[in-house]
Amino acid sequence: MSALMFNFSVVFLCIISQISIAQRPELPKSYLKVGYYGNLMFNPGLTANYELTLVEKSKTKTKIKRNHNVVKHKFNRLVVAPTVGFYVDPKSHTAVFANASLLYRRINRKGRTLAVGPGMGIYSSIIRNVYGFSNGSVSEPGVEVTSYAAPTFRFEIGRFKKKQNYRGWYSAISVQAPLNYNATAVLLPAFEFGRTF
Amino acid sequence: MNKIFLFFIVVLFASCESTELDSFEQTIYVENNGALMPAYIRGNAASNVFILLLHGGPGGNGLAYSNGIYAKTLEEKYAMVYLDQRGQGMAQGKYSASDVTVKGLAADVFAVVKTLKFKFGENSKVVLFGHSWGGMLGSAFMVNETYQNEVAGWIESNGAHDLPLLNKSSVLLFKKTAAEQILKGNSVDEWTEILSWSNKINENSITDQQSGEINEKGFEVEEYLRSDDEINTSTEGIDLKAFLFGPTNWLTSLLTGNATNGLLNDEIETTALTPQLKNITKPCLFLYSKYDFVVPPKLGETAFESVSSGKKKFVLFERSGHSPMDSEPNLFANEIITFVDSL
Repeated sequence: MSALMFNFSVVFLCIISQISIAQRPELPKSYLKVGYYGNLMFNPGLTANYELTLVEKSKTKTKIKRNHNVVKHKFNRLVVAPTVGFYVDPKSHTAVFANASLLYRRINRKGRTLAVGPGMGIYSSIIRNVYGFSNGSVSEPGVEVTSYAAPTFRFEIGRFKKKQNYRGWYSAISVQAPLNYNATAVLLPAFEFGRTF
Repeated sequence: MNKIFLFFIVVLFASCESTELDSFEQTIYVENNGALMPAYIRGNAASNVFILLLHGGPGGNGLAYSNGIYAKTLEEKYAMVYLDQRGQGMAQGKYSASDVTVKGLAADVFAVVKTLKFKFGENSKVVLFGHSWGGMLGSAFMVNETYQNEVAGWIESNGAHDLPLLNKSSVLLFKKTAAEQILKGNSVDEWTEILSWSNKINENSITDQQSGEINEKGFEVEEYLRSDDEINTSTEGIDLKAFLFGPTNWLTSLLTGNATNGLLNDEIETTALTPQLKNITKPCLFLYSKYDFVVPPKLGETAFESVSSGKKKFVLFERSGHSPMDSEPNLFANEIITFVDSL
């Protein structure tokens, strides 16, 4: 649990330090994303994700339009994306998670973007009203937190809008696979959408 | 953003529970040996009678049994406890594959029974009720003297407590019923094919693959019998609201249930509890169906003969397949009520 809290703290510090981003003349190399996290689509939650570019290759193309030079860029990036989030399965459990993905991100000339890649993190399930049974006796109900190592996979699309200071939107399908869950593993797909800041 | 916030509030309020004893609705979790298992308690808790339902599968879920006339009838009189067993439904937990055994799951049921008595009082009456695979699990619980002393009675519906006997009896039932149905002129082509398939099986040496086929064909022939009006058609249908908005998520339940089924499968295929049933001394009710090829009525007959209970009853549903609670729900519920009221 302490490792989980540490991960949360680090990521939140990164997030807070970037909240006050000012005017940006060009596509940023790091940015914040905040959005809805729908575990199995409908179990609602929130997620925040801070993306840092590790490697970038860009292609620049210049076109002459109406006697003006129009410069357009195309980017291929390798990014790391630490993420925190939670969701509520109202009739079963609440879950919090922290993970980091290594993504290949492609951004075209119009700012449209696509990212895909694996990750690794911690998934914790919180269940209330749990009666423990041990050595023949039952304990008073309480809250039980169970943490699992969880590989992740993410596929994301979105767009950066130059007119909006390179802010934009994103939509993603992500999958977490808590290991040793019920002695095997389970796939927990989620649908995400939100804003890029 | 306001809309998202509103959505959260609506969803969270939709999960409210009722703790009025005569219309009780609460979910509790029981933790035992690394597993966290939800028990959905629904119905008349003021009766102080709790029918603990062990679902089929392995790989099913408790709330799949909460739909329909029989469940409503029973919930009006008693509290039904729909349990998601270890590794199935919405059960969660961190444990090893070696903890997933029939005995281990029977120990989980004991933990649930003790928890119900802890929550509702030692004087509350717990009746165990297992269907299909739940029949094997319940039988494994009942043959343990310490465990069975905690419950007031045992209801086994179409329970698969002896897989070798089940497979052998199924093949014989396929052959007998196919001959009868062909003679009646019912679905002749289909039954001829079933007869030819079953004649190729040596009932004294059934392979794992043939065991799987028996299960599959058992459900298939129910369709023929239904279309020829030999068994009743369920009027219940799927509870779409529960499917979409109920506590059991179909994808999680499917994935986790299949994995647990895989872990238990080898053990189940060779489990034969018939010789141990003589250890059962508590009142028993055996509910089986004439046209159940998945778990043939022969198992109920031998269980009825084997248990040492002073109070026991065997009921054969004449117009049902594997799920008499759907095809003859009123008769099914009435048999349970008569039995439970006599305890």
